[in-house]
Amino acid sequence: MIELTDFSCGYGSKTVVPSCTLTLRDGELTALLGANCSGKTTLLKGICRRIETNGVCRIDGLSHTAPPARIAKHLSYIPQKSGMTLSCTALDAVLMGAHVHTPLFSDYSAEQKQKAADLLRQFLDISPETDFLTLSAGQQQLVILARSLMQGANNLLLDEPDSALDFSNKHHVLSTIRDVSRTGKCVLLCLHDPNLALRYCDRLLFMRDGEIFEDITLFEPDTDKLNAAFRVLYGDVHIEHVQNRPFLFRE
Amino acid sequence: MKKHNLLIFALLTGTAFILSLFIGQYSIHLADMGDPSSMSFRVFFTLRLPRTVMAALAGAGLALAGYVFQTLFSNPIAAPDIIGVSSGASAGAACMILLMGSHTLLTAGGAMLGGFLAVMLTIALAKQAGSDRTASFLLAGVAVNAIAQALLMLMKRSADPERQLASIEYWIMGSFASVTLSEVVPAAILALCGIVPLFLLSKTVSLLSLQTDEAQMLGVPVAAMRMIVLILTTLVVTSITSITGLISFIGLIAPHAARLIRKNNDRRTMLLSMLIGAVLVLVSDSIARSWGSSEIPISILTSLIGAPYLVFLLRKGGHTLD
Repeated sequence: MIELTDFSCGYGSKTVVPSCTLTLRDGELTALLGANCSGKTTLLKGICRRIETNGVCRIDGLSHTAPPARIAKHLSYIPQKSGMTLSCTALDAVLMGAHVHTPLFSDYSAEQKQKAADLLRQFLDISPETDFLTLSAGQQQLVILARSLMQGANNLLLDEPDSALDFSNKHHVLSTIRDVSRTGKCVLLCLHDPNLALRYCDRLLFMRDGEIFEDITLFEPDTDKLNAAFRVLYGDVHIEHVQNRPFLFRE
Repeated sequence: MKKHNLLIFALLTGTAFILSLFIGQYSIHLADMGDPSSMSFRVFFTLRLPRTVMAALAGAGLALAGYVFQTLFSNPIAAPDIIGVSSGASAGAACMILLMGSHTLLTAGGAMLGGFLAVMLTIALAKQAGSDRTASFLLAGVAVNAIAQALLMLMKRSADPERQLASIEYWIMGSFASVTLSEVVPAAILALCGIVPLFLLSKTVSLLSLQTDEAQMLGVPVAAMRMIVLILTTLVVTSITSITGLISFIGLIAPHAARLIRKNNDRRTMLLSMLIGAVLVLVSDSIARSWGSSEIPISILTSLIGAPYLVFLLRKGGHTLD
């Protein structure tokens, strides 16, 4: 669970998210929707304490100002793209998630290696020895997702996991993320595609100019409220139900 | 090949080590080894053994340092020169040669001090930039490297061309010719004080290759660990080069070769890198002392052997350095 109270964050003296009070629950997949520069990534970075913050941010009751090794046991951040630039097997990339649970001078245990191999097999049909750098963007996202599960954190933040993915990979990655949230994890992700959010998420947070102006749970949602929120973000759009699923269409 | 590469290179290192003990201008006669007063016995224990141990240690240590720098700076062509260690050590050694003459231990001390001062200056400059990002360290390293090179040139210019300048140049080219047991022991202890913890920290070193934010979110206290790893690596490089002088290319070629062979960034790749480094230096030193009437400086050979090997691996693996 992630709890924000009067939380603000920004870069240096520039405050991007002025005030945010919010509770993200376990087992809930929440999407943060907004145009470019609306403050979505900044809010995620603020929760991770990668930028200047004020106010209260608690992750499973632990302040986000705790040392990295303590925070990493509760919170996992999945960037748009991993910063991995040197060759590394997919298995070892997943194993990096176990670093926080392994004594400083020890190598990963046989059990950890087995768990990493199982997670990799669960998400991807590739050899564990495959070089991470040779994987497609979608496959890399899934490896990083497996790494965050290896980390064992209860709370997951994902920054635009659908960016740079083709149609089928987007759906594969999002359905995998939804399966992960169903195991009781609290998941918050930034998304650009509203239809992906409508299809896979439980809750939508609408953001503009650094403020969350609407918070809608998608279990029997108020369509008028949903339409109004989407119109603030995207202009002339409306929701229609196709095969009992809501879709956003431009007028 | 991939499964057995560690075993293959361990066997190669062992073979190169044993051959190195018996290769040289003077032939060791095994029959005389039982007699402590024989020439074979004295050459073996006074010259060959310390020299071979130092060559293996230097190869493994410099390869490890190169591996760590490449990982730390996420750059496959990074080497100990990149943060000014080598040029700092050269300037320190040259300074001692100018001030105190060609005294081996003082030159070694000067090299060690110079290397450490260069790294401390790099760290201080990177901090001044207000960021612990990799780019700040690289830029600070380039600046310190340039300062040390300028000082070195200044010292060369004012050196006595007959003795001091030759000593400086010879030190820079690197050699195991004057290595003695009394030098190897302290250098080995100091180098191992860096090598062992770095090897044990390999898991964390791998994570330092990620972006700072990503590594931190995986639980690594990035700034502190980067500093510790930099200091340990500097200890390894300076403790070796203080005795041997500069040995080119090993810190670049050995880790790169290990990565191309294993295509990984783990403890075994680190170990493979050390074994490749040890083999390269042992072979180079064996050739250096047995080819011709006078010794060839080691850096000439490590570059001549290392560069074609790197090209071969790049062609075989279809890799580029970008």
